[in-house]
Amino acid sequence: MLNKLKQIKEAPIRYGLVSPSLLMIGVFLLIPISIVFVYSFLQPGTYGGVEWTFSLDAYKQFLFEEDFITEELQFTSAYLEIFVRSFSQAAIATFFCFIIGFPTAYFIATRPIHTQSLWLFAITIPYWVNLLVRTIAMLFIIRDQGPLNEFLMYLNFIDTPIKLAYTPFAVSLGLFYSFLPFMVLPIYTALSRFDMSLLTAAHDLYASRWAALRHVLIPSVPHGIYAGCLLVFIPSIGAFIAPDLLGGGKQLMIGNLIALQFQGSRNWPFGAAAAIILLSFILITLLVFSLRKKGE
Amino acid sequence: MATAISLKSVTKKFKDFQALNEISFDIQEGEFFTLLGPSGCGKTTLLRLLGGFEQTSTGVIELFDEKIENLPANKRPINTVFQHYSLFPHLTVHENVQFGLKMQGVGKAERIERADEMLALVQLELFADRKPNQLSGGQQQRVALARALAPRPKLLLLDEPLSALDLKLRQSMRLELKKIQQKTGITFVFVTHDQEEALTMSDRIAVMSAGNLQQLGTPSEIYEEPLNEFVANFIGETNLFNINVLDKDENSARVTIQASNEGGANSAPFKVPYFKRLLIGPTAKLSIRPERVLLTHFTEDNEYNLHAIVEENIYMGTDTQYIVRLNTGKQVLVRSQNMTSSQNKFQKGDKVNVAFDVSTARLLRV
Repeated sequence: MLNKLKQIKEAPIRYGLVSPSLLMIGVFLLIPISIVFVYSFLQPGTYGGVEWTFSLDAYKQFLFEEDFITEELQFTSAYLEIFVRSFSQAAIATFFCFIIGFPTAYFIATRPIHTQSLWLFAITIPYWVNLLVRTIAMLFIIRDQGPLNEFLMYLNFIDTPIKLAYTPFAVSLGLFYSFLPFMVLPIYTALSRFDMSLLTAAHDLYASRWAALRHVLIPSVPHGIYAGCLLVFIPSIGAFIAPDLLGGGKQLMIGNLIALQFQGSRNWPFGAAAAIILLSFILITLLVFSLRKKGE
Repeated sequence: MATAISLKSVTKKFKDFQALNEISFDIQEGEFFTLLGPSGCGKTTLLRLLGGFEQTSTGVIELFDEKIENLPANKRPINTVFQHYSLFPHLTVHENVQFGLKMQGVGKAERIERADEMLALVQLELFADRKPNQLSGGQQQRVALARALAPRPKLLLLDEPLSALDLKLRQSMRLELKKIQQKTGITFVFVTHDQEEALTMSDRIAVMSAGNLQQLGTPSEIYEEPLNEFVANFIGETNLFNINVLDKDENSARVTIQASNEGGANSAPFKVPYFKRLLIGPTAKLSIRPERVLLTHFTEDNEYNLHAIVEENIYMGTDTQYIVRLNTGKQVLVRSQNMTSSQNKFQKGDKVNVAFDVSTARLLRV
């Protein structure tokens, strides 16, 4: 009886307490996405903005091109290529973030407790500087006359500068650098809860270091790795500063495509459609992943 | 019987702390061998040296005549049951038991068969598909044992494996461990600070303190014939008397118990056997176990001139424990078995005669 009374009393309090977050999610997430969704089915206005007539043109444009003369729709892969490039660049960045981020997280998690926060602090210091500035700095380092090439030439490893800037590699590097901490932090959190004596046990049971890593350490922190990969992969797909600056505008990614539609091209519905397509792709990928995990 | 493991002058130094000091002994094949000592005595360090988790500073460790002190843990045919079990939480019980075999490259069919066999040995067949966190402490303990036994190690190390269990479970696990050891014939090296555990399970015990080996022997040797004060005190309870050695012949010495304060009196001289070199004078201590001190009603004609006042009597079921103040001034612990319920008991303040069988008393050099 008393419990029931308590429950009745608690319900409004609970909703009262979560209402700020619900409000935040509603006002700043659901409403904007709804607007984008609606805009993607409208006609572009001449000077930007939209005209309120229903149209599927934006989605058609993504896959087809209207022939100038016959006005027939022809398949075009231009935008699909951008899509594929975005996914592959994001995948490469995620892979390298993991390869570098996991040992980093392990290193931090195995330091004495009181120095761990210092190491984490050190990891985040570069990120106090604006992303744009950091990306430009990266460009200066890897360009033909930059310190990296100069150094390699000084050591006589190479005779002529390696072309690094404005290549797909530069974009990968930029994405990797932009999002590395997002990989390190969740894996660190998972590893700091990991019982390191399990590695001793694995070692005792004839596991080499490599086998202990593969069969014990990595399978013990799947959630941290999963979270880290998501946190790197998703913003990487939509990134536009790194591809724009480091790819020299030649390595367009979806982020650039969308930004372009809202700025130069003034085709808001197409920009909105590209955003919705990206969103659906990511949602489907995540859904497939989580369903597979549940299946296991 | 072959020598399973042989330690030769093994020392271990951590920075400026000497954890182990010139330890040398052999363990026989098929033996249940226990390292016993208080915490910080070096027993766990010694176990870690055997397991390969620490490197020896100097000295040699041989496993069946092969030097192993420089092999890493994963190259030694030695497995460990860890104090907190260290089961892999992401694997099922069955997969945990298979782990060592898998790392050794044993084929899947054989792996499964041997894991089944091990789970049957520890009576956990029904729990094979559970995860470790779905098991009780005692069950986790058995899984850890099965996991360590599955690769058929030449030596099994057990690091205080029973300390996390409650008393009843601990007692039944003692018997079971012993049974499994006899069934598998694997040499066990067991580390504990619990002397009762050590006495009930071991074939031989190495008593350690402060990085030194104090005594090595069978449980009864350790209990009946302690070599020094530390062992006498650590294994069971004992009364230590300061002794004055008056004279000695080949195997017995004439001694008196010395007064321990000004009002006290020396005891009458009596003869006790001795086993080690002994010097004349106040150079020794006499160890007498509480259950071997006999209290009788006070009479004037007292053989040793030892009498006492009962200060405390504590009824403990199977026996009664007395704390008495001897006329030499020393407090003595006495335990007498309650043979009958109507037995005469001494009350607080009673004056009693104190006697003991000299053959059960043990002379220790100071």
